[in-house]
Amino acid sequence: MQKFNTLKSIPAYLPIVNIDTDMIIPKQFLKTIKRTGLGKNLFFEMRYDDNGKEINDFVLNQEPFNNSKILIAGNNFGCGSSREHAPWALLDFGITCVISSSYADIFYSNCFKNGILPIILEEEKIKELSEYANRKEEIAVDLNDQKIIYGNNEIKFEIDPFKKKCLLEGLDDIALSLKKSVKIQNFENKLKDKRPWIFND
Amino acid sequence: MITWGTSPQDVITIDGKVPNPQNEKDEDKKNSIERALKYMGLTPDMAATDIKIDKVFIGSCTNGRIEDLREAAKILKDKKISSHVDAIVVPGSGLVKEQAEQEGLDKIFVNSGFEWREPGCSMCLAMNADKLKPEERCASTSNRNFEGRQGRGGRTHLVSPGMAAAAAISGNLDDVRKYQN
Repeated sequence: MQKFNTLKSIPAYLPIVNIDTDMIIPKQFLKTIKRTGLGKNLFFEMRYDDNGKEINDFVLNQEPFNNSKILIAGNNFGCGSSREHAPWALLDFGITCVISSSYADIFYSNCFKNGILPIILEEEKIKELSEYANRKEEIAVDLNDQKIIYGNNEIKFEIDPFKKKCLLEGLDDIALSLKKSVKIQNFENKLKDKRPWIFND
Repeated sequence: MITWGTSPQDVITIDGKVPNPQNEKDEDKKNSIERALKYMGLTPDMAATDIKIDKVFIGSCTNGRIEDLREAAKILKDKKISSHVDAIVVPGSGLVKEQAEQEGLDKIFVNSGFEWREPGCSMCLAMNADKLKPEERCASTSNRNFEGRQGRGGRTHLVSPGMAAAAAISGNLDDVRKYQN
């Protein structure tokens, strides 16, 4: 998993509440078990018309937002079906930080397992930051110091210390287990002597 | 109860009216109501029972149990579904299908004009050919009514199995209590 430390980008603003995972990545793309390649279908129905042509009005189809790494959105982001393809699609598009006033729980935890930082801010602060999207100005995110820097201002945000550590070090669940691989191997080596009856060979 | 919008929380009673965004003070909620009404092709303040439907889907994990099929069959017994409605029922599992057939529920569904289907993937999320065309409207016993959930541009109203049966008979969303003895 990619480490998350600091990030600078012009944010894209999607002023819609209850953005569900069907909007983020519709079901017809769920047949894949790969984490890559979903970015072109991110927000598929809002992004393309019936003929597969890009809809110019949609923010992520416009310069410079088609290169945004930060997405600002309305509350309850990531609600609906619990599909990990939603963070996969955001990540594959290039978005590694989402800012909203609330998230659906499963989406929120899935972000951390894929190297995406979901930041929770109050509504007024979100409105303030969205101005930077409107003016196409960069904002910066510093995970270690837990702050967003915009213009001459900064806002602190809260994050669980363990989740923060995992993002900073790029550790997903598998990487966390592998950190203990010496212990696991030692256990396995001793197991045959201690409990020979569980082995068939 | 029925859903009028594109989130499971967008609920009204069957004798109620579709909400009017003008009555909403919160700007975000107002925008969200407007967006949902536009997608669903509904006008503010219209009566729930004036919503005409094209399709009915009875099935899914939430409402494909034997009790659900019994509830719908009770309403459909000796009745025909509306001529402009296509209706399917997909039992929740092979065992449910078998049980329903033993009880003769399949015959009630078929006689009323429903299609009696094999258990399996269907209109809960439109991953196979079972999906709505743009602007088609469905009374569905599935559990999600997000934009595009039953097919791109498709309009979903979440209802109970009994309400789905009532809607199939009337051709519009309707009060199941009219058909209960």
